[in-house]
Amino acid sequence: MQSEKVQQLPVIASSAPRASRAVRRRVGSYLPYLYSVLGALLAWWLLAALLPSQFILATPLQTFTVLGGLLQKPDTYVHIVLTLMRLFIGFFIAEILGLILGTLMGLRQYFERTFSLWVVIGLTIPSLVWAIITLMIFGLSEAGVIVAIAITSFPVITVNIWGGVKSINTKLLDMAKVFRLSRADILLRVILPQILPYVFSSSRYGIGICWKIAVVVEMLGSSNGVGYQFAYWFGLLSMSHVFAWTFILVVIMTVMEFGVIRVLERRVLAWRPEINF
Amino acid sequence: MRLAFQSLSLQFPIAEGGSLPVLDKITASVEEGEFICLLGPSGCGKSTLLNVVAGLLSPTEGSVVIGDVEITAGARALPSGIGYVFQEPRLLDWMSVEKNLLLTLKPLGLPAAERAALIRRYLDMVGLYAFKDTYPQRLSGGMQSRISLIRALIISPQIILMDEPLNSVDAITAMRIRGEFVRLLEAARPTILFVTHNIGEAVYFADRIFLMTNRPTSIYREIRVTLPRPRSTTSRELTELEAEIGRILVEEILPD
Repeated sequence: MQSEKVQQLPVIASSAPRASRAVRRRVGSYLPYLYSVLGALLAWWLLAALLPSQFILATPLQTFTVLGGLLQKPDTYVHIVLTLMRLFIGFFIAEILGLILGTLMGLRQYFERTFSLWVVIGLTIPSLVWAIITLMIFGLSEAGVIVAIAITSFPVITVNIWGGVKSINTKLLDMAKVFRLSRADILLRVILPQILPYVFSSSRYGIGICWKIAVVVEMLGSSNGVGYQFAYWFGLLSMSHVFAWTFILVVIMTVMEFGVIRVLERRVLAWRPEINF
Repeated sequence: MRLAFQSLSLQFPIAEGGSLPVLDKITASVEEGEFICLLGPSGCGKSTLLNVVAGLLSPTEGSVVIGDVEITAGARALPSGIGYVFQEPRLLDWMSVEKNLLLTLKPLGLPAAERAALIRRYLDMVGLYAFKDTYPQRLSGGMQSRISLIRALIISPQIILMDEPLNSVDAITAMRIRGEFVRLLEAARPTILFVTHNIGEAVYFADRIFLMTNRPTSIYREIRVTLPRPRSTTSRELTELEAEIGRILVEEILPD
């Protein structure tokens, strides 16, 4: 609902004075974001200028100069795409498996008893350990990176879906049984829509974890990708390059969150009434 | 469809290891097309009885025979041809009104044109055709109750179970929906079990009223209502009967 209003605004604004006030009000509501970004840049610049060496902290100017250079090199995009590919393959595997296992654990006590211990163990193993183990097993290969990504985010996604399935409204299940809906309809139209909000929150969380582990694994054992770039520039002690690559990471993640996940979520969960609190 | 309860008892297991008796040797038979109101104190197990008939719960002892299906302690069959109007509307909030009804019709395997015609007819009857593409959460409580009511009727059930369906609706809307319901029943005459704690509602609808005791529930007394339909809630016979039932409830059933 909200997104439609936003998209329509420019059209209305050009045709009526009352709407332009609404635009101003909307722009005004984004001002805090702008202030916080400008404030952070200022703090960064001051800190970097006050410190004695550029090896400790690169200034915003140095960082953005390096960034501008990086964005003109085709190699940069190759590294980004490679990391994104590994990330999405790993995440996709984890999400599908987590969805299946989480649903089974939520619906059937047998699966809950069998797997809950292992899911908790999976959660407690640090992602760096998974990275080391998979690299030792698979060596410096694509498979190692992808398996490390999938295996780290899998327990987190499973736990989210498991909790979601446990919280579904059983009264609706009774309704579906009395009206003799098929098992497929009960699963796809009664249960799945109730766990979709959990699928979104687990995706959000899962992708965040996947990013972090992807970069670490690439740093340890890959000759390309964003993580490899960090390792390379870390080796050369170039703080401005490390900062520029961090900036690229942050921008991609933000675009995914606001441009993809939130838009999808709003569309899929359009039936939910808006919360006014 | 005929219904026969034969010494039906049900106990719920409780946390401390014992069991809570809810239904106690209920024996009754219901004729085809009969409108039965189950009237009794709240929390006495009337809903539990409906859930047994719906196949959602198994009895601990005894049985209920629905048409030619027998539900006993061992056999948990889901009888078909049952429409259930729950206490809450229990609509699927992520589907439009029309999609909700379509999903309910799906197991019947009707051709698409026939399904669309049925939905149009029933939505028209409750004056909600204009809302067919609306999500349930955007409807008022009374509108949701009406959708829930026609969802049970649209499958042409042979038995309708109704569990205080108008509990969450204001008195004026409830009166309107009752009228609509009686008109809808003119077309078909399913067997109806209607749970209520509203005496006026019971005498307005019922062919027979089962007065239920406190938990564990059994049938204390049956009252046949022979007044012709359509009944008027303000007629003298109805209000006198209402007062008499009120007296029995207060003086004989509640003190237990």
